[in-house]
Amino acid sequence: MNAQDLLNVVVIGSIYTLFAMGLTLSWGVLNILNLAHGAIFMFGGLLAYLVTQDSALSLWIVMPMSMVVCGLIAVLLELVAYRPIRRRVADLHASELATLIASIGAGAMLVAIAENVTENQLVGINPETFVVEQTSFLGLRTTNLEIVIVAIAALLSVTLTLFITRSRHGRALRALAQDPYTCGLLGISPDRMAAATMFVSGALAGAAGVLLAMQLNTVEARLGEPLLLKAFAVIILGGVGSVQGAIAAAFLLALAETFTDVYASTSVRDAVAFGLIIVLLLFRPQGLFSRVAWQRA
Amino acid sequence: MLSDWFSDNETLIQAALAGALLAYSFQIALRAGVFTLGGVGFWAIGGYTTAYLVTEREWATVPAIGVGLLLSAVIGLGLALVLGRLRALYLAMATVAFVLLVQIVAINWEDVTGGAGGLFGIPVTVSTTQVFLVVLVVSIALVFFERGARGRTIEAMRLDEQLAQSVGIDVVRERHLIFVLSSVLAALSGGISAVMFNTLAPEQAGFHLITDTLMMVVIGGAAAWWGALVGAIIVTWLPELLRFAEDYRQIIEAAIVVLVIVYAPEGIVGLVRRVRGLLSGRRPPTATPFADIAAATSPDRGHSQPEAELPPAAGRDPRPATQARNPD
Repeated sequence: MNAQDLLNVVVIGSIYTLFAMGLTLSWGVLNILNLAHGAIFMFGGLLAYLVTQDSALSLWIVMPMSMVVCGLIAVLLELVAYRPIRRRVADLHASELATLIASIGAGAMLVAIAENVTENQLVGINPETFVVEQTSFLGLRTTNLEIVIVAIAALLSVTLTLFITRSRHGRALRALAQDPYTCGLLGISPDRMAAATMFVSGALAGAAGVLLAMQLNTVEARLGEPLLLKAFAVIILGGVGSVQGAIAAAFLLALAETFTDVYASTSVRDAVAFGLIIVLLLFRPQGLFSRVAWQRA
Repeated sequence: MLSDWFSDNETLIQAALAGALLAYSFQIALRAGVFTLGGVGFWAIGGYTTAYLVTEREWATVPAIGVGLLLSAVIGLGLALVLGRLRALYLAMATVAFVLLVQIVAINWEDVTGGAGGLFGIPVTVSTTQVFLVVLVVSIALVFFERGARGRTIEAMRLDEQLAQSVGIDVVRERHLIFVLSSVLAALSGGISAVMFNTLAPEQAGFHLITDTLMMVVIGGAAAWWGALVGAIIVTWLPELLRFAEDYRQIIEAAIVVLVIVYAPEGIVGLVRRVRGLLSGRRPPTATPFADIAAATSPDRGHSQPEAELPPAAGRDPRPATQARNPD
């Protein structure tokens, strides 16, 4: 394992971070395991493809646009499915499971739409959106796109962490995770906070989708599915709902995967995430970093 | 006439039968409150085992499927032991991860699974009638599984695990049993599908199959075995019924899942029980693992509230659901 591999770890870890942060946020705050997250992520890439189809736009226009639209898609899911379920189903467990199924259905819908749009073909974002050039960084081979990915991931994760730990709204968000009923008494609207959380979660997925689609140079309807497995491992590793935990875990997972890549074989690589999930669940179910009590186990 | 209809629709009938077995696998788990989506993984394990033994080793069909079932039972038990502590979302997530892992193995283990392209030309060794008989036998077994003391045990586990434990139900053992049964049923569906449709590819055993099967159970209703059966039939014929929608078919199908889970989470079983309850003048019992609408007296209160799990809410039948239905 050399410095070049470590650079790969940082790039892959950045993508995992962007993807997993949104998922852990909605789970931690709202008890929503949003399996549509992978589809929303894919939609980010798809939108970037659609708007750059005819004329190239700058990445700095395309990405914010994808983030906003993906955020709105997530809010839409919250409004038409998750919130009505919370209203109608009193039992916490039952409502979590109904929400999970609704999210699977919603994800399938987004994937079906994407399949229609792309006609089941692999498509790619217009390469002129961001001209990828080889550069070197501290003597290592890299591309300007990879530097952008790492920088954006760092920027967004630091912003989100500061927002959650320092700001007034972040405090409200953490309070909501603890006890939505009391939040209502204190004048925090659980509904409004839920919509805001879903927006942030979707926007993060959108950013990750654009960046990964650029990096792989492909968009396809099932782009998000493999990342879900990784995100599960990241969330379990970092502790559910912990954004800092997720960030650390994303890089740990990337490190473990690259390690298997180098010292074992590439085909084992994808099983690492599952192995980590099982081992963690067996020995440290609360996550490596989390101090939150293990939920009802 | 009838035989014409059978021969015209044979593929759909076959798909509905295989789908029903997989839907049963999901339904018995959901009815016991065990939220596993691992069935799709076991569907693949059963399918690939059967396909490999029949094609490469030239085994007879029945022992080949049998080995698939045995293997799934063992792996299912192992998974149950590892994931036994998990509940709800954590279990769902871990089992989805299991499904994705099985898919990865199927893509990479080319010697046995044929890799990403899958297996072609698996000999077709079962007839529709035989599969129909298998489904019939399984259905009858499920009728007995849902009745009597055993049926009530399982219902009690779903409604309140701690309470079930306090009246002497060995919840841990029961959950393991449910896990294994669910795995075996899924493997049966997979094995039969492999020798009925003569191809098997990793992409079949992914998210798509989870969605389809959940759709069957959600539309039909998880509270009774026949909900899964009715759901399987509806979902199988849905593409035919939605033929007019052409390209938008899959979008509409997925939208139906969302609508049903939000507005009729008890599915057809819940609907039938409600109607039957109205006719007999009794309040319907709580029908599914997903919903207890009667207890939702006020909108926001209740969600994420521990005490809401045993709601003394007004207007709710104070009798446990099991008693309400079986007044013996």
